[in-house]
This record gives sequence, structure tokens and C-alpha cells, in this order.
Amino acid sequence: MFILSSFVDLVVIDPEDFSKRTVDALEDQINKKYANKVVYNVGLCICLFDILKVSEGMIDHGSGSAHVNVEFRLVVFRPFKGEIMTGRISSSSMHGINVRTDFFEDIFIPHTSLFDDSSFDVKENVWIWNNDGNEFYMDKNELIRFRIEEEAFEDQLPIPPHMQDDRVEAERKPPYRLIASAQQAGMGLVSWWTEDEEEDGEEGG
Amino acid sequence: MKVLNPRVGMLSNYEVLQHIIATKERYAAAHLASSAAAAMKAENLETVMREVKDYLSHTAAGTQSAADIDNFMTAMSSHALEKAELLQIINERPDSIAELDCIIEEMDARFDENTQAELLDIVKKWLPAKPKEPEQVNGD
Repeated sequence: MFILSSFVDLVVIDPEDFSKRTVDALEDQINKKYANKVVYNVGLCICLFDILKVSEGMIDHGSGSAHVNVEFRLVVFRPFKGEIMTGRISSSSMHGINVRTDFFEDIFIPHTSLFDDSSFDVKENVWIWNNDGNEFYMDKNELIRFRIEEEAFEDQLPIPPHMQDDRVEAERKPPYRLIASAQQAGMGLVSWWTEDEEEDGEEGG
Repeated sequence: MKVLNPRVGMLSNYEVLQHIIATKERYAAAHLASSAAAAMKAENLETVMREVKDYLSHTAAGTQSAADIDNFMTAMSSHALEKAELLQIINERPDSIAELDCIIEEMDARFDENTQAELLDIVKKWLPAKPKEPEQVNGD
């Protein structure tokens, strides 16, 4: 689910932070820039893992800030293709199910990647799996296990000024999106497959 | 900004959780030592660290220790499993053969039933159970 990625970047430390230890000031600046942000074709950056190399600081003659070239590694969220993950159902539509983890919102399971006998209940906005006459509801906020199939990075271009006011921000595609599937035995709602230690091989339902 | 290596290596959920906990402890210690203003961290950092920590604490990583993972890896070394499969087993801690089948590719072709049961036993023996979910739905 998480990987380590190495970057090199120019970090600017303002004079007011000169009282901090250099590594702390660098860490704060790097985290401020990268935490919870998606880097195109790399993934969702979580936080600094460690600093590998720091160059001598060049002082900027205008502001007096130190410009430092830093090589560092970040913890990045980027599940690989085929990875199994657990998340919660955030919403359902006739196109499929939206799943979120606490820190990532854009996971989508298209309806074609659910179990074959699934149907959508328009009134309640839920997908239902019909298995041998038993109906299993895929309710909101339920824990669901799925497999990552594809990832999609979207390069976010700035909105041109003439479109800024009328266009709703929500129309923009998310910078990082995961497409998943849940159609193998063991996947779908976690509660369907839990075996209690006392009972043997019973599908919870 | 330049990406040197987008994939230096993979981290287990346990390692990420421990890293976040250690980082938070460092910040808390620094907060005690210096002024409150110096200890203020960026909002995006606080948010993502809290959310990742919440998520991981409720997965198998929340109950694991470094010793558990070492013992598990030693016990599994005699079986031919891919690195990615071992990582997923540690992260997801499967409870049943069905879950193991999702993680291990072509499990029926590579391992016979007895070996499959043996693999599941190693998982249950060395990796602690996932933390219990706080609310019981429909209490069954």
C-alpha cells in the first residue's frame, strides 16, 4: 500500500526559522509542501521518511532566506495492481460503488467488477448481491475488501481566470484515482467472509 | 523538484504506522522543550498523519510488533511465496482460505490443500489477530 520515493528539491528556510535545528526546519518545510498532496505519476505523499543529503545553504540577498538543495525520501501511498485492500463504502450509484479509506477518497468499483449476480436498488441507493437466494446488502459505511485493478493520474492544470467563478470546483477530476474490483471469493463486504474461531466455515450474514 | 526514484522500496503498514507514531512523539517532545509556536505543524501534515494513523490502527498493523513480523517471515521462508504476497499477508492478515486465495496468485495450482492449511496456520500462529471493530453490526 505504501512505498518509499526519493526526491530532490530546493527548500527555502526563512530567517525566522534559523533558530530551529536545520534538519527540523527542513523537515517542516518539506512536510508543508508535500503532505497530503498527490505528485503526478508518483502517488499521494504522506510525510517525510528521512533526509539523505543536504547541500550548503545559499543565502538569498533579498529576503535573507537560506536556499538548500535537499535529497530526501517520502512515504507515499500507491497500491500496486492486484493489491488487496480494505475500505469503507462512501456512496453507491448505478455506475458502481465509491470506496474511501480514512485518508483517500477516490476509489471506485465499477458495477461490472462486482459479483455477477449483483443488482442496484434505486430506492435505497445500494448494491445487492444475490447469492443462492440470499440477499446481501452493500450498505454505506460497511467495510469492503477489494483488489486494485488500475490507477489514473490526472495532471491538474490551473483553471483559466475566465472560468474560475462559474465553473464548480467539484467537476475537476481527482488528481489520483483508483479503479478496483470485488468479484472473487473472499472479496466484497468483510462481514460476508468472517469465520468466527468457534464456528467452522460459516458465511457471516 | 525532481523525482529521483519513484519506487525505492515498499513499506509494510506496520512500518508506516510506527514511523507516524515516532514522528508524533518527536513533535510532542519538541513541543514541551520549546514554545507552542515553534511546535505548530502545517495543517495538511496534521490531517494526513491523523487519518493514516486512524486507518492503520484499525488494520492488522495496529496489533503487530517487529518480533511478530520477523517470526512470521522466518516461518514462511520455507514456502515459495512472492515478496508482494508476503507483504499483503502481513498487511491484511487473512483469516480464511478464501482470503488467502485472493492474496496468493494461482494458489490451487501452486499449493495443495494441506500446504494451504499449513500456510493459514502459520499466519494465525505468528501474526496477531486484527483489532476488533468498535461497533458490532447486528450482533451475530
